[in-house]
Amino acid sequence: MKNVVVTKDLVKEFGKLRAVNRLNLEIQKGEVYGFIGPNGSGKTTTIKILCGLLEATYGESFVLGRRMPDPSVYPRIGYMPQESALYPDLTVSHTIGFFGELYGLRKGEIEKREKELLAFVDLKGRRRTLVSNLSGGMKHRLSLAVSLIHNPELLFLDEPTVGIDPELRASFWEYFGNLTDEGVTVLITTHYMDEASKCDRVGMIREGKLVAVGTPEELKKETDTVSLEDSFLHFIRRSD
Amino acid sequence: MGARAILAVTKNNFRQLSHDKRTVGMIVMMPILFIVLFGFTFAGEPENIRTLLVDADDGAEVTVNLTGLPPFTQTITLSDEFIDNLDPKTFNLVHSDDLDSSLNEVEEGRAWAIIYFPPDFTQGLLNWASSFGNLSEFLGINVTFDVVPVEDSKITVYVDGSNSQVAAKVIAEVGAAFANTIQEQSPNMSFTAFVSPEFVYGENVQFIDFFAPGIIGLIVTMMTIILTIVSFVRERTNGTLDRLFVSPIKPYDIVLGYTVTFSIIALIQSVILLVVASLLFGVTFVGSILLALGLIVLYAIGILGLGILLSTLAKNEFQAVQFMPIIIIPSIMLAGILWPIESMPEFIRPISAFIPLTYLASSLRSVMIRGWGPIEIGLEVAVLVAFAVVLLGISILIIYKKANRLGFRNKKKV
Repeated sequence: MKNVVVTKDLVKEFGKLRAVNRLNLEIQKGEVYGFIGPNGSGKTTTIKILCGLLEATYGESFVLGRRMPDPSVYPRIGYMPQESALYPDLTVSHTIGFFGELYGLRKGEIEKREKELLAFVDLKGRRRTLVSNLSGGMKHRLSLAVSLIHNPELLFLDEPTVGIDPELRASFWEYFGNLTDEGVTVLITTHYMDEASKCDRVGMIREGKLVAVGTPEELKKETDTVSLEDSFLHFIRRSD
Repeated sequence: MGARAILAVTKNNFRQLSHDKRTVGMIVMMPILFIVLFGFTFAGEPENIRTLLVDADDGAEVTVNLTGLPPFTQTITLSDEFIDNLDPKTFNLVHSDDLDSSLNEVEEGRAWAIIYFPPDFTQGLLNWASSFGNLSEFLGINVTFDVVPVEDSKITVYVDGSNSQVAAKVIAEVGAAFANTIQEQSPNMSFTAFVSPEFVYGENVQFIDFFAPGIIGLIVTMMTIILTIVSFVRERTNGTLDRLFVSPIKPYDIVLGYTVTFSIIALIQSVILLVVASLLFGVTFVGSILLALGLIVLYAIGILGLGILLSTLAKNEFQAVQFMPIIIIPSIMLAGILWPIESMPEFIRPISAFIPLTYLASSLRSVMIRGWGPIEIGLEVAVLVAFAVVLLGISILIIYKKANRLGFRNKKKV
């Protein structure tokens, strides 16, 4: 299978702090890859390097075959930052419209995508609501919709399910499944272990290092545990 | 992308503004408030200055020779002519008989000045005029006159100099009245040796005409800097800038989109400022309005670049606002908008050369008062273009750096 994301000995240092420590990732086309680990373990930093927003201190990263940072991959990837990253004084509809225009979508396409996406994130009745008047969860949903506007083939989602109620969260996961059926690759960070078990493969990260990689079943089997949470603890103890 | 991307950013900016009533209010009301405040505070020259008039002039006797009439003697007093020539707007004249009691009033602060005519005022003046041998022409009638030596014929102005502007105005106006009196008396006399200003530009120009261009520039500076810094710091802190960076839009299209936005806002503000300044204060405007607006927008583009630059130095909006005085105070003091640069100490003047407002104020003044065109203000325009190109260029570079698109590659191995 083809790897759409590859990192080789990726290191990111902020002054003396090493946020990412010799990280080697291989993410295959069409999978949902869960990047799990506690806060401050280097998940967001890694995603920002992969999106070209941060420069790695050492090592290399490749996205869709391009050595990052490389703006030529931007039309093909979607990025949902951890914070909602929306304009508070814009309506929901204008938010979708603006980002659609940035990706060079025509007016008709934007309208079509807006309909689909707002239905998916359950914001259909909120087209004319200002972003500043949305609840935290709604903002998060809109943020996800924005990152999907241009039908990207690779999605970087930084904690996409925070603050979203269980029912909608389930539908998100269902949607991610549909996307991968169409060949879209999803890299998702989370610290919900129950969510991680829905990923095709999971990379466990701690202090900037990958401590384990595999399907949830493999990881549980390897550590002889019933939950991913237990196996995570197991791997952590082993890496110490 | 290019034009479409720029337009998308501009449209987005205005859509956000349309939901931000407070900012729109600030954009429209701040210029009006400022120009009105500045106008009313500085527009006026001192008026209605309470001044005591002590006229001790005894006059002088002349013998009038009219054809067909026997010569007769008449007393003339020239102080009256002089008093008629005092500007009624400037002076609130109060006649007084006694110099000592008048001095008391000034000392006690009840009057600003005393204009004192000595007993020999007319006599002295006539002595002086006849020394040129032209007394008849001076008085406009055929007279003969005996020169009587006098001790003191000077007009004395006693003035409370604690308010230098009032004092200067009193002295200047007394001088002007004197010059007018002499000129009226002797319109054809060849010996007149007074300074007579002929305005090449700006006849009837008042202080407000001088500083209005600078104030307009100052207001545009403040507004553009506030809006740019706050917008960019917000883009960064709420994460939208990252989102733009991971989209196909080129970083310079982001900066240019903002440039178009704030140019339009600066244009709207300039129109408001010019309209208020000319309707409310009758500010002189003889040049091309389009040229004036063009200058302001050109200047605003440079300031926008400066704003983006400063925004990258600030972690949040609170820090960003602290940069404001660093830009505004030197602009007020050193750009020659309230005081001419010529009145500053020589070692400070070079600093003025690095303040963009200096060039806007002087070129805008030339357009508004002198009616100069683009060729005459060419040098200032060139400097403003240079400021805009350099500042905007640096800010685009910084945005590229922030977007991690400068193309520097990391070291290969651990």
